[in-house]
Amino acid sequence: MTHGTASRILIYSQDGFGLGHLRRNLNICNQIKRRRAAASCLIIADSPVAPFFPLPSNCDFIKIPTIVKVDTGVWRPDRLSMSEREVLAIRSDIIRNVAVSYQPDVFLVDHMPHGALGELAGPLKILKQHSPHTRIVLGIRDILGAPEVIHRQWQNEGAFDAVESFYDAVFIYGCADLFDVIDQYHFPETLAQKARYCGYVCHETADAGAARPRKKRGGSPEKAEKLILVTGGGGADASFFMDQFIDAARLLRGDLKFRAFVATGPFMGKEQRALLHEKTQNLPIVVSRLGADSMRFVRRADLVISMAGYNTISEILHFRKNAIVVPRAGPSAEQSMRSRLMSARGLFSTIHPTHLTSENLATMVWQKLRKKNRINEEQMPDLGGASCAASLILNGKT
Amino acid sequence: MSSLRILMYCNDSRGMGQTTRTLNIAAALSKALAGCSILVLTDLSTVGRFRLAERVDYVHLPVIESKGHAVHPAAGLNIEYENKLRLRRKIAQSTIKTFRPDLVLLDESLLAHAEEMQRLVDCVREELPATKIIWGLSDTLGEPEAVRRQWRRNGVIEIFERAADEIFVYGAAHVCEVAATYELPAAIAQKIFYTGYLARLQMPARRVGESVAKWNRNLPMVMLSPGGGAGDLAMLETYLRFLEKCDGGAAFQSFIVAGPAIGSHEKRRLAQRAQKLPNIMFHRFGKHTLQYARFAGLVIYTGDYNLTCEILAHRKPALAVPEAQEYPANASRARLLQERGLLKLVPPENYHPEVLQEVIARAFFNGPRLSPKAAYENIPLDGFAKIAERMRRLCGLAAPVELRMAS
Repeated sequence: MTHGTASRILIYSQDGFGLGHLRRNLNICNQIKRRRAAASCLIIADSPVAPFFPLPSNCDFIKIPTIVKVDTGVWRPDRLSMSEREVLAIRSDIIRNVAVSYQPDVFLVDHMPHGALGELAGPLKILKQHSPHTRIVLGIRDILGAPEVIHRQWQNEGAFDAVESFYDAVFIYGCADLFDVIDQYHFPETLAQKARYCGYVCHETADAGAARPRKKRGGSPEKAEKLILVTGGGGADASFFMDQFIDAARLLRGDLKFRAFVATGPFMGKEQRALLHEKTQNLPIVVSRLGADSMRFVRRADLVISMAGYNTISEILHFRKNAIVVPRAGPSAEQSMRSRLMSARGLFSTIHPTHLTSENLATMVWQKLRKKNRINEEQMPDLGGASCAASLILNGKT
Repeated sequence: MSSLRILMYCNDSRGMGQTTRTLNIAAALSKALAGCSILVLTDLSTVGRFRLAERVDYVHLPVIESKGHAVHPAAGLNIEYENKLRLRRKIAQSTIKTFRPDLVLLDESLLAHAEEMQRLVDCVREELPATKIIWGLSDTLGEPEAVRRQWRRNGVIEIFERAADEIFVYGAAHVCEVAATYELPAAIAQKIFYTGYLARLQMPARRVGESVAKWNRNLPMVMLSPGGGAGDLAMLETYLRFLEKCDGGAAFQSFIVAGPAIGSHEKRRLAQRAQKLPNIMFHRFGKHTLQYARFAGLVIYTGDYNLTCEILAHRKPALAVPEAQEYPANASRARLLQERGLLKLVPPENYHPEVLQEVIARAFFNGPRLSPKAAYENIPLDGFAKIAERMRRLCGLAAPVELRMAS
C-alpha cells in the first residue's frame, strides 16, 4: 500500500456511558466512504450499545469490555466483577492484537493520546515497530476542559510525551478563532506543528444549511403549532433539565401551541424515564428513547433544548436551529465553556444549570419561538470537520 | 462469593438466535453464581441492543459473512476473508489469555467453522489446561446424515473427544437422543448432559406489556413470526393472502413480526396491503419479540429453537413451517415435536391459505385441539437452572443454601 491511498483505517473510540466519540467517528467514516467506497473502517468501541448508529458499508466494529469514567482519572469496569487493572489488560491486549493483525494505514485515536488509563501505550509502541507505514493520528474535539486542568492532566499523564513519540498528526475538530486549543492548553512547539484545525464534525448532509421551509399547520406562522425537541445526548444525566422543561411546558400550555419530543437517550435510567413519562400526562409531549434518530428530529424542530455536548451542538449549528442550551455543570468545564463561547457569538441561548428554573425556561422558550431565528453567518464556525478529517486521513492533505 | 469466570462464544452470521440464547444463559448464570464474571464473544452486529445482565459484558468480533439478515446489512470489512478470520482469532485468543476463564461454554454455531473452532479450543487447552470446555447444542441438530457429514468434514468428533469436558444438550433425551441419532462414539455419549429446554418464565418486559394492553381483548391473537431466513417473505405473503380471502370476516387479530431480512421497500409494500385488513399489527423483529408468544392463542413460526422454548413453556398451540434446506435443525425439531403432539408441521411447499384456515379454526373455534395438554407433561423446561447447577458442580463449587418458602 503506497502512501496516499490509505484503505484500512482503524479507529479507537472510548465512550463508556456515552455516544459522543462514536458518533463523531462515524460521521468521519461516512465521509471516508464518500471519498473512497472501498476503504475499510474498523472501530474499536467500548460503548455497551455500540455501534448504535448505522454503520456505513465496509465498516465494522470491535467491542471491548466496557469501563466507565467515575471521576477524573478514575475508572471502573461497567459489568465484570474484576479489578479495573484486569479489565484494562484484556482491552489493551485485544487492541494490540487487532492493531498488529489489521495493519492499518491510518490509526485514528479519539480524544486520549494513550487511551483510557494508558491502555494504548503498549499497542502504539508495538504498532510502530510492526507496521511502520501506519500513520498514527490523534483526534481531539474543540474544547477538552478548563485550560489549567487539561494542561496539568496531560502533563501528569504523559499525554504530551505520547503525542510526541507516537503521533504523526493531531486533528482538532474545532476552530482556532473560537477556541485556540494549541494556545490555551500550552501545546509544546513540536506538537503544535503536528496539529491541524479541521472544523466541527457533524453529520454532513447534502441539504445542509438553513432549514427548508416547513409546511405550517394551522394558518399563519405565528399561530402554527411549534415542534420542540428536548435532547440530552446519551441521557445519563439529562433528566434534570428535562424535568424542568416539562414544568415549563405546563406553564406555557395556555399561551403557546406546541408539541414536544423529549429524547431521553439510551443511558437514562428506567425509573427516571418512567417518572418523566408520568409527568407529561395531559401535555402534548412524547417521551421516547429515540436514540439514533434524535438527530433527524433536530432538523424538523422549531426549537431545540439540549445540553452542550459536542455532537448535539454541531447538529444545531449545521441546521441553523433556534436553540436553548443547558450545559453540564461539571466535573469538566467543557460544556459550559462551549456554550459560553458560542452564545457570546449569538449562535444560541444558554441557561446555566444552576440558574435554570421552569419559569425562566418557559420565558425563554416563549421568546425564542416568537421571533425568527437570526444567525449571523459570519459568526458560524467551520462545520466541515468530517470532510476535512476524511480527506486528511485518505490523502494526507485536504 | 465465587469469582468464577465464564467465557461464552457464539457465531451469529445467520440471525440473532444464537446470541439471544447465549445472553439468556449468561443472565441466568450471573443470577445463580454470585460474584462470577461472564464475557460473551459474539459477532452479532446488533448485540448492543440487548439489555445485559449484571456481571455480563461482551466482546464483539468483526463479522465474516453478512447475509443481509442484519439491521446493518452492509456491515463487514472490505478485507480478505483470511484476514477477517485472523482478526477474529487474535481477539478470541487475546480474550482467553487475559480473561483466563475457569469455564468456556461454546455454542454449536462454532461447529460450522472448523478452523476457528480448532484454534480456539487449542488456545484454551494450551493456555489454561485446568479450564473446563463445555459445548452447548440445541435439542436437535438436523437431518442425521447431513450432520454426520458436516461433523466429519470439520473434525467435530475429534474435537469432542479431546476438547469437551461436557456436552450440554438444551433439550430432552426422549425428544431426541443425540448420541444415537448422530451415532456418537460411547466416549462422547458419556459426556452428554441433557439440560431440558430453556424456558423463560419471568415477567415480560414492560414495553411488551404496554403493547399487549393495546390489543383487542375480545379477539384471539395469532402471532406470525417468520424468523430471519430467506423464506420469511413468502410466509408473510401467504398469510396476508389468507386474510384477504377472509374479506374482513376474520374473528381474530394478527400480530406479525416483520423479519429482519425483509427490506424496507418490501416492508412498506406489505404494510400498505395490511392497512386494508382489519385487526393486524406489524412489529419489528427485535430482542423482545419472543416474549409476545405467551400472549398469543396460536403461533405460526419457523420452528426455531428460542420460540419453541416459549411455545413449550406457555403451552401454546403452534404451526411450524420450517425451511428444511436452510434450517435443517428447525425441520427435525418440528417433526419430533409433531410426533409428540406438541405442534403441527407443514412444509413450506404445502403452506397455503387453506392450511391456515384449518389451523386457525382448530386453534380458536372448533375441532380437535392442536396440542393436547398431556403432550406437555414430560417436557423438561428448567434448562437455565440445570445449566447453572451443572456448572457449579463442574467447577467444584458448593451448592447454594436453598431458601424455601414455608408452605
